[in-house]
Amino acid sequence: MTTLVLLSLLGFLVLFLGAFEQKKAILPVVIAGLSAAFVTNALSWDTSQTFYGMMRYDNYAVSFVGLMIFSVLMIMLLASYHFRNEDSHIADIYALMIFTLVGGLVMVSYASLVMLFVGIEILSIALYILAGSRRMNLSSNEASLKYFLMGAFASGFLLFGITLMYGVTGSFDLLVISDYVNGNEELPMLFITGVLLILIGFSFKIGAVPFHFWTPDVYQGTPTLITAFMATVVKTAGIAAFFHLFDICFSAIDGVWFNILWVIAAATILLGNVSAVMQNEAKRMLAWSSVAHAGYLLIPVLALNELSASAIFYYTAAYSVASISAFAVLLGISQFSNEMPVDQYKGLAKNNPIMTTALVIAMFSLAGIPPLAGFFGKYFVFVTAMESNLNIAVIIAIAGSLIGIYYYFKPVIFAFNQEVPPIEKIKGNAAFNFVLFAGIIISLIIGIFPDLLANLPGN
Amino acid sequence: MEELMGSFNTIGIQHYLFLSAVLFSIGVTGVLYRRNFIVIFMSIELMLNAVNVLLAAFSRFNGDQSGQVFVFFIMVVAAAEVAVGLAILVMIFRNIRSTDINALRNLKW
Amino acid sequence: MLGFPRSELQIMEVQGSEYLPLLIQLVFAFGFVAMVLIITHLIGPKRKSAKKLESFECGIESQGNARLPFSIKYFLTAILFVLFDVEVIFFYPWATNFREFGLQGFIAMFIFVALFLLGFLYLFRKKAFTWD
Repeated sequence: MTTLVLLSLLGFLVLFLGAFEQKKAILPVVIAGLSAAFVTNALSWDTSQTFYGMMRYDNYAVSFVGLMIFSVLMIMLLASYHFRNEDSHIADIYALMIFTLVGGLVMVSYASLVMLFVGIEILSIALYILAGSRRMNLSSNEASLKYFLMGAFASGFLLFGITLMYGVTGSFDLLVISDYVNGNEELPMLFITGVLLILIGFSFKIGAVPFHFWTPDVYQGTPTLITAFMATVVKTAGIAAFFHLFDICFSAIDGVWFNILWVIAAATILLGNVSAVMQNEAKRMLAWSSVAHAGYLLIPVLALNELSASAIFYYTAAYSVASISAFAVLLGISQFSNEMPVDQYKGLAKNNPIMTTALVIAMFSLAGIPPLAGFFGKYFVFVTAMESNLNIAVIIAIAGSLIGIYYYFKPVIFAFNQEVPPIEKIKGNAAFNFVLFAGIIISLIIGIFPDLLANLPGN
Repeated sequence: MEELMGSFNTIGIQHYLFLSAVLFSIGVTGVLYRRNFIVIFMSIELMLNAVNVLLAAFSRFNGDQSGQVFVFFIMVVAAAEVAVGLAILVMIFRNIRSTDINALRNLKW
Repeated sequence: MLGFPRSELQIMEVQGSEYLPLLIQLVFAFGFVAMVLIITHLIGPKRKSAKKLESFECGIESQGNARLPFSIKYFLTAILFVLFDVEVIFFYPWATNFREFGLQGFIAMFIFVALFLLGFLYLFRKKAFTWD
């Protein structure tokens, strides 16, 4: 709770630093504030408090919030590099990112469906603005509008599901709903409809097939920095909230949703990977790859056993670190340009070894090559699935990963292409290089010592 | 007359349920079929308000106040959403001078 | 049907007689409007001229169309009004339980309003209220 208050106040503070033209102070304040939030969050480990039945800040919440704060910190550093020459709206962008983080925090610690909705909306509304933060750019406008329409549409489904559930059980409290589910053999049709509507709402939010169609467009049109934010923080919050709800409330009625979610997960993995292969735009490829990763992340939700929470946490951690590196490299190469063909990576190895290393590590980690973090992420997901006898889902996921290797190698091969004259030298500043270094080192460390994070959310 | 009054007697929760399901479906259809941003916004609002009607009815039905408080939350969030949505719309209108969603086909696969 | 046992449905039902005055009122309201419309149509003289068909028959002649685009500056004011206006609904549940909440509730509401003022201050600094 301290973390929540701290982050909200930090958001306001940054907003006012911007409004009162204290541009120099913003970045230090943001970094200090986020670090403080990280510490207070870590201090709530094993305290597990409940606030008025609305929020439960347990170890599950602490781990995911820690991960999200870390991702935001990295993205803020990237932002300080990206906006080094342009400082008109930087305070607002930072503040909106912090508010998004607040929404994400609520989404992983809710104990009542009311807070789930409020969390999702805090996160989404700030993101609609961030997606359109390049006002004169038509692609950014379009992405913002599409994201807004899809987000609001999905919220409608989610709300209708929540309402039906409230009508049947008489409460928004997750524990009451869970008692109701466990105490009744035969559930009313309304309740089942509610579960399915919530499933649809969440599928929209995390971009799972067949509700994924907005993802590539929005990811491509959004400014690259914000795309990195969407692919990491938002995906983490979404999948953590999804799992939290299904774990607490609906584990006893998997007959209702299991087959549907199975098909969604399998279709997401296959379609995401196959579509990513066909892309010529680097950013669009990463967008489709994030769709595919949402599919992998749905498998532990499907398995829903005692290993699921840690598998999801490890996977999101590995995926976030690798994605931030991948987007950082993309940001470094393309800067403010909107055109990002994959062959833009040509000649990168010659002129910037740090970026190349980061690119290689990130792509290999996303593809799941041992001994990087991404490999163990997939490994834990598969172990979780095997525990619940989801063998066919695992086979589909492995097939998807094999397809994935092809398109993740494309940028790497282009980077080592010797024939073309090297593109003009790209110079990153200290913050940018720090993010790249952190990405390389963390991917390696949590890959070589997976036990560091493997049991984190606990039970 | 007795018969007429009898039909009033049966206004139960399922009537609210049907009303709100119909409103919600109209909203969904509007979002999917209309091509004007503003009409789509209105359809989304209709979806949210269908939910509000149902929440108020369920709240009364369950004898529990929390449903009505949730309605407040939905209203506030809807207002914030509309503010952002209209701002996005104004931003787009400044660039393309149109409110037709088909004018936006920059990003596609 | 729909999973609700029949007995639970009874809770929601209202006595039909409570609706009777409402029904009578409705019948009168619609009946009166229909009657007046029909009677004026029947007994009134009919004279049609261009002047007669103007929106405002007497007074200054109207100019142009009312559906003109107007300044986008109104948009910001209108949206800000909607935002600040809607937040007030959280005062209702607080106001009805004002005494029970005591000092703690007062402090909570104070913080709530303070956050508004902060938002207002931000808008002020961002010159959202300056017309030019």
